[in-house]
Amino acid sequence: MIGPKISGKNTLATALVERSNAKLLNFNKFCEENDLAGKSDDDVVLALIQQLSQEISPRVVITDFPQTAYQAKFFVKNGVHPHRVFILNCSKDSCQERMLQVPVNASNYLPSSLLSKKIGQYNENLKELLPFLKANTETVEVSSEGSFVNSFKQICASIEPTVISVRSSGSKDATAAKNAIMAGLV
Amino acid sequence: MNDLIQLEVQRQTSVGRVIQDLLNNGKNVWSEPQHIVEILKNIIYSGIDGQDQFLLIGFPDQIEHATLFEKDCSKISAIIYTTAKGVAHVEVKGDDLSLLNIDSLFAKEFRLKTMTEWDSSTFAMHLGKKVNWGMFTGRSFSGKTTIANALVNIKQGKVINMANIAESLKAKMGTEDEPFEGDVPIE
Repeated sequence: MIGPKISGKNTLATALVERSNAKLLNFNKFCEENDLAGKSDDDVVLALIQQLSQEISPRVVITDFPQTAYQAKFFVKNGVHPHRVFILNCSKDSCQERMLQVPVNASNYLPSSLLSKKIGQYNENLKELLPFLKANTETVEVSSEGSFVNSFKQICASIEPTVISVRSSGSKDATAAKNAIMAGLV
Repeated sequence: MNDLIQLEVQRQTSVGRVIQDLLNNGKNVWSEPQHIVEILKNIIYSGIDGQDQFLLIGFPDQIEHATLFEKDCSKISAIIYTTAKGVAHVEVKGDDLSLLNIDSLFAKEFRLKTMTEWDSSTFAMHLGKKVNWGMFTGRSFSGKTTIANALVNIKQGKVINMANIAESLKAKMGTEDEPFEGDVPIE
């Protein structure tokens, strides 16, 4: 799941992993915890692939990765094909507005000028990254401009299975119909 | 569902142990439906490729259970309600959903679909695999595209912009030296 700074990646990803029995992997935190800052893209992506290969959870949601087209290409080239890539679309103005709500002493706070620079960098990287992702993965663009509920609905609609409940009115004929319908469905 | 619950208890999974404790204390498993949802969640999101269609039998039965399942696990696409031919089934009166079972709630939300026998095309139609169309028309700059884009964000639809299609057709119909001018024929 990628998107500009403060577009809602971690909030949405946390809700998604909770709902779908997945595990959350924050790429930036992963790099920090594994002393990968300053390492080459190849080293960082290989470390991530190694981590994923040891993962026992059937589903992992990675936030803030890939950050560049090179990382994405290297990831896919090494045989890891994400089932979905969620790209959060959120305007710079909305991001700036959200940042105003973040307390200055919070860990994710960024002053306006730095936020603007980060978003500019993200958009620059996206120019090459987006066409690659669209061509090689199942990419879902999600508008995170509005409410959390709306954004989360868009994500859920993309990953949720078809769940059908079969019930009968209880009469003998209805139960017979239920059995026939179930046989057809299965 | 009862088979699934028994299996979890036998396998002594984490949720199975919780259910075992409930049973040991003389409590009803169905009084704490979150454990049932947990079992279903493990199955539905097991990560097995290709498993993306599930039939629920025997759960949910009450509005509270359905609400919890949809909140914590997955939306229920539809209830297929089987009846004998020509038999009236669920009656919804006003907004007062006094019945605890889910049929009237789903009927009210148009998610209760009745079937009297198996028929694949009726089933596909019930699941909404039939495209619903809407059209926006209005003067230039009246906001058609903006409103259509806002609507698809909410409804998970797709915008087909006829003006863009016309432009792409014009490009094909003309040449570099003689670009096509005028309106694209409707046919």
